[in-house]
Amino acid sequence: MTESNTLGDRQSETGQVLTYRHPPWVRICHWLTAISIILLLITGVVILLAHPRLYWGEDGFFGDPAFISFGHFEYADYLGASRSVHFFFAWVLGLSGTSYALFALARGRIRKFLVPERDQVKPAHIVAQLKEHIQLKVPTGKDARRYNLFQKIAYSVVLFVLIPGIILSGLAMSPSVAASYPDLFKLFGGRQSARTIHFLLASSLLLFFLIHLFQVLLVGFGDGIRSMTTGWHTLPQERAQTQSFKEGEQT
Amino acid sequence: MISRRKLVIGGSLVVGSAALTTAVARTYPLRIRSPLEAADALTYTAQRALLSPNALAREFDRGMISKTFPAINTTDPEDEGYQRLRHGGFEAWQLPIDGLVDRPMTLSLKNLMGLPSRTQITQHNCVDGWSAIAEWTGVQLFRVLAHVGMRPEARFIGFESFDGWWNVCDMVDALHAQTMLTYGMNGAPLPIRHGAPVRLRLERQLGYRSLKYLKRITVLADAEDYKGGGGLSSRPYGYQWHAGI
Repeated sequence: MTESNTLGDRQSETGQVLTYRHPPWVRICHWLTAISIILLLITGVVILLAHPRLYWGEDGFFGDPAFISFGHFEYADYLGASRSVHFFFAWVLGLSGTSYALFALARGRIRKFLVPERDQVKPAHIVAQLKEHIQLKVPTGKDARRYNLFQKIAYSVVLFVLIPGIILSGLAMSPSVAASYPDLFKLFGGRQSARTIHFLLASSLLLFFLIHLFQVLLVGFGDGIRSMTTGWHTLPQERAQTQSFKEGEQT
Repeated sequence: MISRRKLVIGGSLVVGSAALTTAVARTYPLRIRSPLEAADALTYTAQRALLSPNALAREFDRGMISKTFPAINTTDPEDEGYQRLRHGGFEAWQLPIDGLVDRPMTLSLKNLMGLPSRTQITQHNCVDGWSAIAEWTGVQLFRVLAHVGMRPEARFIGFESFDGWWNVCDMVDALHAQTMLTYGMNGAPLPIRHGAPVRLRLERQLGYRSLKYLKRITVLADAEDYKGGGGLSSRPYGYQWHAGI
């Protein structure tokens, strides 16, 4: 398990090639963020059930025109407890998200891993990628070692749009924060708008989470979990060989 | 092998968490009863540390006042004493202010109206998720507290209402310019369903902290030292004492 090449790979006893992907702080932040998001989504739904209607503007109550309505009922039995859990994990998410972003910026990982490489933005490559995604093909060769274009876009949107947007719209709903930072409402257009935007961004995050989970299942659930826990990602032998073949071809 | 770098990072994490825990435990005025309340305490500490104590909640134009203002929970207290007062048009209503004060007194509605008034158009943010805007008229709590004279050890104010709810607020909220004993709503006397004759307005907290149907005010040294302790009567239902978010 100690053999390694210039790419930082190593060979397992079974002959599979493992590549080191995630340093410890990425793995820690990933799992803290994942746990927080799951619990925030669940408690968020319970909080929403206390008034399952969403409005636009400053005000809204039963009888006002709703932007989105899930019904005309109130279920507030677990509202208080859900709020405590929600804010607990809001802290975890805020801290793990901020430390992840800061570390990633400091180490130049944003540019290295999230900014698309030149060949990835060529139309032919985009079309090919799109086809592979539709056919649910698992990437091989060079593409097995880097994030694909859509993955990069998705991760960047989550990191720089969804999570900051969710935290800001959540803070806009806080009467204490809003008193000190009324400009938040210029950003979101009113308290009920902030609540609606909070919901829409959280729904987008749920959508990302489901697709992300589906992709991990597609590529290999066990390996996905292992790679994010130990840092080592397995490149199946076949794919690793394909890659060396391709590299040989290029030279 | 532990590298020097790891030692520095680990060390600062340990020292940082210890400092934060101490700050939270010293700032949050209640006993922390569960890990979740520790998060509430962290929120309270962060808000008290990072937000201006003087910042005013947003005030709106008359045109923004909600046409219908929801009334939930108690809309007419069953309490016998309250019903007697209500039938007398609240003429006999008296608000005792006691505890750590130099001059304990009871104030009638006339007494309160005789003090300088403030009118503000603010948003009521319910914990359920709805919100509504109304114009409120009343006397700022700090004026009433100055009237009775607080003792040096006073640090919290306890409120009790005719419908059985109670809670405690700290001095940052009690002395805030928009914290009022409110007797008027949208230019008329405060309606029964909104807490007549006098309700509290605590504008930088969620609605459940703005008690309706005020019955008594008590000046305290310790937030735990009021009624059953824990800072508010809705704690058994899971509601946070600090409702700033």
